[in-house]
Amino acid sequence: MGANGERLLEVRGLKTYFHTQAGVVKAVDGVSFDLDRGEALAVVGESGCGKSVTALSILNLIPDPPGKVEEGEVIFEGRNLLELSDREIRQVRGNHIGMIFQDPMTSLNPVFTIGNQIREPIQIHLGLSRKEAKQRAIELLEMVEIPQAEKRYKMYPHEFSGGMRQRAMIAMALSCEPMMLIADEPSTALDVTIQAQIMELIGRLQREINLAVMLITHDLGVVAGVAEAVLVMYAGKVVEYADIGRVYYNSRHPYAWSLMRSVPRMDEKRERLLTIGGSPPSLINLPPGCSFSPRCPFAEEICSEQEPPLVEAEPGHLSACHFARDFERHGKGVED
Amino acid sequence: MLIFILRRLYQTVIVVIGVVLLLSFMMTIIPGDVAQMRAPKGATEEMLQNIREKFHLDKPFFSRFWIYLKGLPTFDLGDSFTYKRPVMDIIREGLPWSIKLAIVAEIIIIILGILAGVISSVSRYSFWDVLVTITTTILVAMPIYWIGRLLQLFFSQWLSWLPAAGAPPPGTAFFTGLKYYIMPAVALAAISTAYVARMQRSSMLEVMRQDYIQTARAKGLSNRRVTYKHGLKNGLIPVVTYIGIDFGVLIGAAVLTEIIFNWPGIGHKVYNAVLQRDHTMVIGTVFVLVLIFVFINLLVDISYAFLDPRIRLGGGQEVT
Amino acid sequence: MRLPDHGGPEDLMPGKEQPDLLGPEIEEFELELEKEQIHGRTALWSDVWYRLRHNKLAIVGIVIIIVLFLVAIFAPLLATHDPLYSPLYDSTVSSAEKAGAVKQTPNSEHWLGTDQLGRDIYSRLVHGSRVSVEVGIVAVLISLLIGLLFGALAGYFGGWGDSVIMRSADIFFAFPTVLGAIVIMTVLGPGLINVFIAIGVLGWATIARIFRSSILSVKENEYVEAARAMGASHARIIWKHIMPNSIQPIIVYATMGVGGAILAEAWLAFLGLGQQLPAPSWGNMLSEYLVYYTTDPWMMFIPGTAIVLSVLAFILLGDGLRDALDPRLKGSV
Repeated sequence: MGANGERLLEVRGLKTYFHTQAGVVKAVDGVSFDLDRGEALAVVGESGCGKSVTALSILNLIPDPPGKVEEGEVIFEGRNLLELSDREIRQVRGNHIGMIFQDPMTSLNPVFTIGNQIREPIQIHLGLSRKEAKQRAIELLEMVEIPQAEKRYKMYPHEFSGGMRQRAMIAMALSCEPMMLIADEPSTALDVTIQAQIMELIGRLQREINLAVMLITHDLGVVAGVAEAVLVMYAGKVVEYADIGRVYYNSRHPYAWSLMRSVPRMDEKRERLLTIGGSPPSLINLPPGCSFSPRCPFAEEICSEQEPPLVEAEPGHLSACHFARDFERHGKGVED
Repeated sequence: MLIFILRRLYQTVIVVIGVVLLLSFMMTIIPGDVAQMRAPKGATEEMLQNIREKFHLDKPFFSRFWIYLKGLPTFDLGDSFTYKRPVMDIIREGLPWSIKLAIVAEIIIIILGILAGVISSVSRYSFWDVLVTITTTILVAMPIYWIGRLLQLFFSQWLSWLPAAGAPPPGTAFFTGLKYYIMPAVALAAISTAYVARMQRSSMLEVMRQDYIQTARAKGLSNRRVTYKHGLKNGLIPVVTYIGIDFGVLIGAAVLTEIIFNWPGIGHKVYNAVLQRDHTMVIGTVFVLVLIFVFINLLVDISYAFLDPRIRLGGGQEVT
Repeated sequence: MRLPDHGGPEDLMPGKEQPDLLGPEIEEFELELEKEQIHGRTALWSDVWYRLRHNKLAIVGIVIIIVLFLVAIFAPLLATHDPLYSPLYDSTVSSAEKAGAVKQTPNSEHWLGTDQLGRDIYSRLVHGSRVSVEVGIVAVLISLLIGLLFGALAGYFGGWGDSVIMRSADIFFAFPTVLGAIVIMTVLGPGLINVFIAIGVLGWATIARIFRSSILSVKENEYVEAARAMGASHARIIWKHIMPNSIQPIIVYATMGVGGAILAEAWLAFLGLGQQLPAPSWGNMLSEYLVYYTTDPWMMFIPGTAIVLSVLAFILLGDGLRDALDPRLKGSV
């Protein structure tokens, strides 16, 4: 959790709600975390846990209506992004914070060339001429390991494969040398082999250009090589937050713990993978007490009565479970 | 691109052949004694026989079918009974007037329709949006010839701003002449404009929900740039194809409009033929109009391909 | 049954084969799922009805349609006069009275006034509603019958039959509705029955196209595969498994098509090809009264408003149905 680095981003008590006919959807409900320069943070959770909405909220990209950031602060380099004017936040987007999305097939505009789309932020944010921007765009394409960059520059998205499109997306997101990259499930829509390449690329860029990365994923497998810290979300809330080793090997929350155990691992013999029963709760009608309690294998009476606070289970390790402090003992007791 | 155009050409050829066969068939199957219908009252049997011979009515089904069919490729559409002249001559006279009117109407449709649609999608639920939505919904439900009459009532009868009907007489100055075009063109364009506006609005709203729009926003582009660069170019694609399809609507509407405004076009001529049940004239005229429609559609589809690189570069999507 | 006068709403329809703007569809992931949690996406009929009920415009449409049907059914009871009675042709009426009997503005005896022949406009309007309802229903049924049959054959079996059917549909699409109707009506001769046929026959191609494409998208689903594996007959598979899942866009289209057919009756009457005079139909009345727009403009507003309201009602209901069936599109169209 980057105690030594220089703080780049602080998210405090972020609440993003969607006001729908069926009721208020608390997509993000009081999320806090930090990100240092050059650090990589993984935000992990099932579909619909609010991790993408968190990312969009940082850049103020929540469609309003129906969405609205209700509360909280997003301090980026000393400025609260949520309080910036339209013009000011635009200068942050794509310039200081780049973002890539999960589906490269639909995230690029089909009617413009790749070059045109990469050039756009360069011309707008850096004020480069068209010619200079083109030069830079081609360099970027080379940086993300797209062969024949000069030729590819003139092509349209549909002429690119999925992996190539995601590389182009990365090139676009990094075109203005941002300090931070938000990668929203960057490899989910891709083939497994391509997934690894894309993650490798992100990891390499992070180290080489000292990029802070917020990596959103539901796949713990992809996190391991890249992220240093992990933020586990469930039903719009943070349930566990620690550096990656701790979450992997010494999880203090039953949800995160089950997630870890549902990932196949090479280093451990296990008879079968754990699956988490049930499905995520409706965000309109959360169960009382701990949101995870209906699915929790270790749930006790208190769990459906009181909502557990996010506490420090051990130094630098936050968990929102009533039994966070003696999770191992509690968990083992139930399991046996 | 070439494959796309070739496939589209092939399709067009099939359609034209089908239209030729279908119309020749229609021409041949008319029930009842056609000669009786066309002859003046109290005609003698000899006169009827003359008419039968003149229009080949005495020949068997297949030879009538063939006689008509073989005339079509050379635009030999037979003689009109009503006008006592070759159908093609009458079409040649009327067509320029119809085309001039259609061009003016099409300009109105494209400019006004797209503009109204974009404006109402950009400021959704605003006053303009509500106004555009209500107006277009009502227009779509109106009989076009009634729209024409209402225009005449307001702008000619009550306000006396515009000539009630007719084409500009020969030798009229350009701007005076233009006055004659305004009402028929507006009436002709009204319903299609409403459709295009609705279509453009929903197409824009659909596009603005796409992922690449979010990408564009995340790049830090201004709303204006997101909407008009990234949104509009995509949002126009379905509308452009629609305008091609819509040209058929325009042709149909032209018949009704020309009647109301006494416009000397092809539609007005066909109306007289309809009243007389002059099959040769009606089917011949329809043949020419359908050919024009098919041809325009072909042009629009090809230009559509230029707008969408996925087709231009052989993405191979079939546009039907 | 394409909305005559103006092509048709098929291009605004969910079932239309539109060029795929998104490229191949990939599984939709998190954000999409979040949207789903927010919007919900099932199309159970109870849900559809629920959403429809909460759509004010659709309710307006439904109310107008109910009124229209009631008026058509009970026309003889609602009419106050004989719709055909004209004092001008009544030898018991003196010529002075005849002069005063025509083109009366609305009064207590003639609620909506009298027309150029002194006939009661209200009674003609009430009786005329029958023609509109008949044309709407019969023409749409004819289109549905032909369109669903050919659409099912083309979509389900594919192959050369598919090509033949779809190329025939293309040929029909080459005819703007007005021209197609003019040709059919000139050949068959004027009259109400022929109006049914002309409008019905012209509408099949769109229905077939929509149905075919939705069958194609349903056909490959696993439950259809499963039914086939269990030896269900083609007819049974189409009727039991494919139909319920492909019918939604057809329902929307057919609803709007009723409005289109009502409109078609009007312009066919204007061309002198519809219901033959002196029998009342809204189309007849409108074209008769148009003549007097300089002297008595109020007359044309009566049948005109009736036509616009009924067509509008079916469009509103169709719009509402589309939104209710596909909530993702809600509020966008």
